[in-house]
Amino acid sequence: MNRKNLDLVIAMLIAALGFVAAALHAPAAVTIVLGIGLIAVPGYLWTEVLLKRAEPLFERVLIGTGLALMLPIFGGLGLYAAGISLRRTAWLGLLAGGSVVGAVVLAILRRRRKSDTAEAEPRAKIRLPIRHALIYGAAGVFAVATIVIAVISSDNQAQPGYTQLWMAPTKNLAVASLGVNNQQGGTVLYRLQLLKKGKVSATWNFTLTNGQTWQRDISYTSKYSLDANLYRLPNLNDPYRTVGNNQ
Amino acid sequence: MGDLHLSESSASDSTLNQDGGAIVDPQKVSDLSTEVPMTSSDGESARTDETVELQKAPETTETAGTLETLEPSDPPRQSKQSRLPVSVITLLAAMGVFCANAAFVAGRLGHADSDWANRVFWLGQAFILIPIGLRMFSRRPMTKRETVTLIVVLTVAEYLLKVCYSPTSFTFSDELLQWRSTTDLLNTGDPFTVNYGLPVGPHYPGLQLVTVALMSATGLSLFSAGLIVAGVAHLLLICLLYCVFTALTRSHRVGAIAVLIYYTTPDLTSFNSMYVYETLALAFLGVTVFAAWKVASLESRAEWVRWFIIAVLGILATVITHHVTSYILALTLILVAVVSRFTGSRAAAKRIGALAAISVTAIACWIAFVAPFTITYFTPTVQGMMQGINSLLGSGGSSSAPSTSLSPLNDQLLEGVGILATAVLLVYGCWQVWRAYKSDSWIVAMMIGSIGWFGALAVRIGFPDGQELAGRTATYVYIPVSVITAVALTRYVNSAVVRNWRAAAMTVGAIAVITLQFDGLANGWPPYWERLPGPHQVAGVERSTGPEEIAMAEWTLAKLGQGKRFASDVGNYPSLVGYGYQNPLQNVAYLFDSPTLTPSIVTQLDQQQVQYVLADNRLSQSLPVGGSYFPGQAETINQKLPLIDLTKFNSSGIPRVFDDGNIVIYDLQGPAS
Repeated sequence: MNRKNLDLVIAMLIAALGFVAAALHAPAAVTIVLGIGLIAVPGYLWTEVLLKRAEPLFERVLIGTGLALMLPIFGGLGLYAAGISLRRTAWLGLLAGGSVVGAVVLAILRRRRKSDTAEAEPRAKIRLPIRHALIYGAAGVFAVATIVIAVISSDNQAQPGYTQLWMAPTKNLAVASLGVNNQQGGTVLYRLQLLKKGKVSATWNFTLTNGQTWQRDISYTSKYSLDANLYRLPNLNDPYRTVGNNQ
Repeated sequence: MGDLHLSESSASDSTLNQDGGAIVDPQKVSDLSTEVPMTSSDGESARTDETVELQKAPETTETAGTLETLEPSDPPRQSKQSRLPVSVITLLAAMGVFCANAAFVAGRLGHADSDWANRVFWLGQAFILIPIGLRMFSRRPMTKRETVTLIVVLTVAEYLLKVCYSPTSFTFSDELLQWRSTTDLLNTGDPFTVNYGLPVGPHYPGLQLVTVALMSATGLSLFSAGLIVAGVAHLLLICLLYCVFTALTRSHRVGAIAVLIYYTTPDLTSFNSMYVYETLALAFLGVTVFAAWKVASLESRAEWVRWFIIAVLGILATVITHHVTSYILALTLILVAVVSRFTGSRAAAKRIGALAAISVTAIACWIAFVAPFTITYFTPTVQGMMQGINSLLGSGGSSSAPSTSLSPLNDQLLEGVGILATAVLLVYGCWQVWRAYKSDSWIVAMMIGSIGWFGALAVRIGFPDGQELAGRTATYVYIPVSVITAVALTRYVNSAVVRNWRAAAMTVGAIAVITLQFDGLANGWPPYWERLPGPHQVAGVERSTGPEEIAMAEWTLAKLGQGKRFASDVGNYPSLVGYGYQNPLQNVAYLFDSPTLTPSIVTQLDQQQVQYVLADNRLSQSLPVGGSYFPGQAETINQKLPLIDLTKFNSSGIPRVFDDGNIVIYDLQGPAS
């Protein structure tokens, strides 16, 4: 393998590592980086197949990105048409397959296009003075800090608390799911009363921490009134939530 | 802003193709690596610290093709470096994002409606937009790399702000609809699974396929993968538009200014960078249009055939991804082919005509064999447009189109100024194109396309739901508008009238474009009433989708099953679709306009086959911020909904299955129904 095909080797290596990392469930950071590589490699390879190296780098990057986005669409629909369910393994196979086929086609084309290297544009040497690098770095820090602050503020946004009460018939219409979910932001003491024909037939007292759910199945009917009143202790005068069949 | 010499148009770099049409070697006009933009008269290239040191690359000046450029050519002055290097502008933009995000944080802390928080937001936007705009219009030298960097910085900065607005989950209704389709594909492996909220969506599964592929390869969550796909697609669109604009105007500076003008599109930084199928399709549209330009411009068969293949792939990807974008693409290709035919470039006309034919065929085949529902989906829209036209013609210009809640006076003034400025620039630009560039098929096609802006304006004023339709249309219409407006600005600065006041003219141009950008932001999405994230709002969009609504929607999925027909207000609608996987219905306002359940309401409920009614008591506490309480509600609401209209179901014998204090769900399938 000569230097002309070094990029091809590197691309295939990235694709192979991406495939292995995703297939073996490697640590998240590794899988993300290599997975993005696995998505990008077919785009690069097919751009090399379709466009000459003399084309401007910026344009090749754009077209490569476009082709990388197109492969899952055409490939995914192709797999679906072939009766293959679009699960994770199918996607990994598609991306790896797209890379391999692209690499083979490119290798063959490069053999034919012996003058290909002569077409390559001169490499631009990027010279970035240290002060500008530092300024760009500061901009990056600002950007990262901004995202972190946004996520933290969104996660900690004050929301009014609420409690869900439900009495929903199940598939078995003689049974209903009766439940309470606490989202008040703290521990709450509840009393739940089940009323049949207006009379208390069952009472449950329970304490729920934030996010906790109390739930049970009850017999359900539409022949007589069946209501559930939830009280938030210590207030036992006014029901906090009510559900029922409204008979 | 200093004085600026603007080069006169020259055809020196243009060559004529075999059919006599003017063509430009794309290598000359768009080769990033070989372009050194500023060359003084003695041939020494001006260079800032940031410019790329080229080795062996031929140094070419960016001389104009058939269009004038905004480049300075005053030798003693042009080599001066800008006092505002690109790195500093990047830092200012990052600070702008930080500043605007601080306003978002303030909003979440309960200051969403405060004037100072809004001012901080606009200050952040000013940090992003003004330095970039001034630098683009500056007479100082700029390499193409710097121009590209500024465009990328602008795009990334605005996208980061979009992410910061809702950094942990999708909250916009259309995003939730796409989220649902993607979840379906993940769960079933079938890209065509029914989506009750967006029935046409699964027939255009491009976005879902790309997202799930990325998730499979990286292990990222749907939200993270969606942000990456939308962000990359949006950046790709902007960069490709820059390439197209640069190619058309033969100047990277004018191309960049055209991009800045495209940034005046009202929904560009919001809707067009969201996780929606249009965002991805627009990127493919960009690929196709750029490839089509190459196909038309290149003479060597071996060369243009390569780009032809890319254009065909772009067409197919667009057709699979988004309906309207594919139609616009087909229209664009047809327009360019027809104009090319009449401007003498027959070879280009044939090639573009072939692409147009492929595009039309692909659309027809897709609709016929995969997405016949598309016709049903668009029928109400077309009928609404016809009604709008009839209304306009019948009433001599006035219409009964409902208006959403009025924007603040400042925004309205800005909007008026924006419309006036765009109209003037467009008319002037069209006149200049007709006068000077009649033989340039692409520019003429853009001129014809830009006239669509006036059509969009008419739709906005005269059609029911015109504001939304015009907003959606703007994404496409502003592409030719940007080119023609950039031409207008270039010609204006070059005109003899202002030649003696070039610096002032450039300053006016910069101020005009920046003002238009602020107009686009102020009158685009999010609207003023939810410009900053914050507490729940009644009948809003992003601010009506909070933890309580999401938990309710998830409860419906867990306890009631999927695909139930819900009557709900507009605020809970997206949560029900996206997180609840339910089928909320349009036009249910009748259900809540009386204190009792009348026989008429019961009849309509039966006709609509409503299974559940969702009554949100908060509707009785404030007016709808978006103008209406319920989806499909035509009239603008001026009175709060009486509580009894929401609670009347309690005394009607209809089972009350869910209660969280604000939201109550009634089961119409119960014993009383």
